[in-house]
Amino acid sequence: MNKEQVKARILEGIPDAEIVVNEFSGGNDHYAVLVVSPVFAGKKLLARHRLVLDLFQAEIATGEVHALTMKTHTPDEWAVEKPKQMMFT
Amino acid sequence: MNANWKDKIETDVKNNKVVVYMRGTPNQPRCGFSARVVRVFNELNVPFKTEDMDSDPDLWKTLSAMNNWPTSPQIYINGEFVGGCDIVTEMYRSGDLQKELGLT
Repeated sequence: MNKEQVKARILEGIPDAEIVVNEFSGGNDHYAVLVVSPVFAGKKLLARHRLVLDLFQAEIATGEVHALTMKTHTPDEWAVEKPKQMMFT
Repeated sequence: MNANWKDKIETDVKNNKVVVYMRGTPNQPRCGFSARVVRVFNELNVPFKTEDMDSDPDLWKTLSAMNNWPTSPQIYINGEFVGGCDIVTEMYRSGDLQKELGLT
C-alpha cells in the first residue's frame, strides 16, 4: 500500500479528516499517520484508534501493512498540539 | 481462536495488574513498539507480566480475535484491554496511565 492509498483509505472511513501520512521504513508497509477530525470528539483513545485501525484490518492481516502508528486529534486539540509538535520537527 | 490461550489470557489478565503481549521479551524486545511499552512500565517502576506473541502463531490469532486488534503489542491493565503502544505512550504523556495504575 502506498502513501496515497493509505490516505485514501482513511478518507473513505473518515471523510472530513485532515491527514498526514509518513512511511518510516523506507519501504511501503510501515506507516505513521496523523488524523484530525471532529469525529473523535468525546471518544476515548481506544475508540479513536479502532476507527482508524479497522480500516486496515485486511492489509494488516496479510502483512501488506506491517506497522501503523497514529495520532488522533479533534481540530480543537490539534490547534493546541500542533505548535508543540512543530518545536520538534 | 485457541481455547487454551484464551483461558490463559483471561486468567493472566485477572491475576496481574499489567500484562504486556509483545514481540520478544523485556530484555530482548523484537520490535521498537514493544520496547517502548516496556520502557514506559519500567520508568514507572510497575511490575508487569509479558508474553511473547512470536512464541506461537495461535497466541497472536487468539489475541487479535479477542480484542479485534491485529497488531503487537497489546496491553491489559486491571484486567481490561487498553490498546497498543500509541495508546499507552499517549496515556503516559497525559498522566492517565499513572492514574489508571493508582500511582497519583
